[in-house]
This record gives sequence, C-alpha cells and structure tokens, in this order.
Amino acid sequence: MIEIASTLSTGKPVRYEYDPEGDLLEIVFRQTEATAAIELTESIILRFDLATSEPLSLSFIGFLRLIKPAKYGAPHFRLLADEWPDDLQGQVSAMLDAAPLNEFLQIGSYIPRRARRAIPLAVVKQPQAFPQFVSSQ
Amino acid sequence: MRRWTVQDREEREIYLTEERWEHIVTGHPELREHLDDVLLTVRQGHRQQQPHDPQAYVYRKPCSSLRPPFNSILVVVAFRLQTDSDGRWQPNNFVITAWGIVMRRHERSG
Repeated sequence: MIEIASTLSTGKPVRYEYDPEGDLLEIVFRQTEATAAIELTESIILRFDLATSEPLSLSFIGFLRLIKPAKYGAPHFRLLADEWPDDLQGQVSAMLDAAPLNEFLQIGSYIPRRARRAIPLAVVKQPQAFPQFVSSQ
Repeated sequence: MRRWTVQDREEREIYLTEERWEHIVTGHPELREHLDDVLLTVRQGHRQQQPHDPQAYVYRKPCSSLRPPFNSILVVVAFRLQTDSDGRWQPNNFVITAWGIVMRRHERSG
C-alpha cells in the first residue's frame, strides 16, 4: 500500500491510498464511518456523511486504466445517476459541483442525436498530486 | 495470518486475507460487523466485469442488515494467475476491497 499525504486547494488535508496489487486508489478526505455511499460510475465510489453532505472518500477501481488517455483525450465515464435513490440525487449532484470532489472529477453530458435526454458523464481530472503518485509506480 | 476462502456462484475460489479485511474496515468502518455479509456477497452476488480492467470483477448483493440507507454490498475481486511449486499456472483470485452502498434498485445486485 502506498500512502501519500497532501493538501487540497482549500487547504484541507487529503490522503491518497493506492493499492498497486489491486490497482485501487482511495482518496480519503476524512477517515470516519460513512452514513451513505453510492456508485458514481461503474468504477468510482463515493462515501459521504448523509447529514452534512461531507464527502469522506472517493475510490477508483482500476485507477491507472481510468486515467489512461484514449484516442481523443481523457476518457469520460457514465454517471450512474439513474441508480441513485431519488432523495439522494440532488445531494450527490451538489457534492459533485463543489470542493473537494470538483478537484478530482469534472461533470459533463453527452447528448446523442434524437436522444430524449442528456447522458451525464464524469472525467477524472489530473490534480497536482496524481503525477507524483503515478510516477511512483 | 488468517484468510477466508469461498466459492462464487460459478465455483471460482476467491479468498480474503485478514490483512485486507483489517484494511477494509479501517477505511470503511461501516462494514466492521459485516464480514459474513461480505463473504456472502462473493458467494451469491451478481458478478460484473469492470469495463476498464478485464482482471477485476465487482460482486453486488442486497444486504438488509446494514444500517439504512445502506442496502447493498459491493466487493471488488482481482482475478490473477500465479505459478505453483511445479511451475503450473493456478488461479489467484482475491478480494481487493468492499463497500456498503445505497442503490435505488436491487436488480443489478442479483
């Protein structure tokens, strides 16, 4: 396990925990018991405090593959918004738009031709700590 | 160091080491009392290959004993190969981590 302590742009501490055997990265904002967690995408899990909307950790399954550039740039991943309970939809969207999650994920949408609605997408940003972290592999 | 070995629905042998379990519950303390539920998720859960890592699979299963609103467990399993003492390739499938999660529907959990 590789652990790197760093600081967010807000000045708050953050810890990166990378498991090279499983290629799993967990970004820990605060280590405590979560009261909710959801699958943001098939490979990204968010744990948070339900009462305060405080993100506690963000996990990336297959991290090195997730950040590997594709032919046309950074890969985008479909948000599993349809699978979030109705009463969490607004709360999760608000968290994604705010620090610290917006330092790591950028949210967008894709509107296929003749589609009835947009497909929500997420792309993994490359914060300063990532290159240092990846280069240690 | 202890380890627990189970078979999934298609009889693939998968193990969880005590070291990994301790790491799981240190990082995700909401699962501390749910070792049996995590192992049951591997035994009976719906298995889905990770879209970007063909050697990683997610197992999902509803779990009613978690504190609401958690209603399911998700386990990530690595499927690897290793050579035995005779140089033959053998499966080396192990739990990477697990989460309690909140899902709208249970259909995906199998």
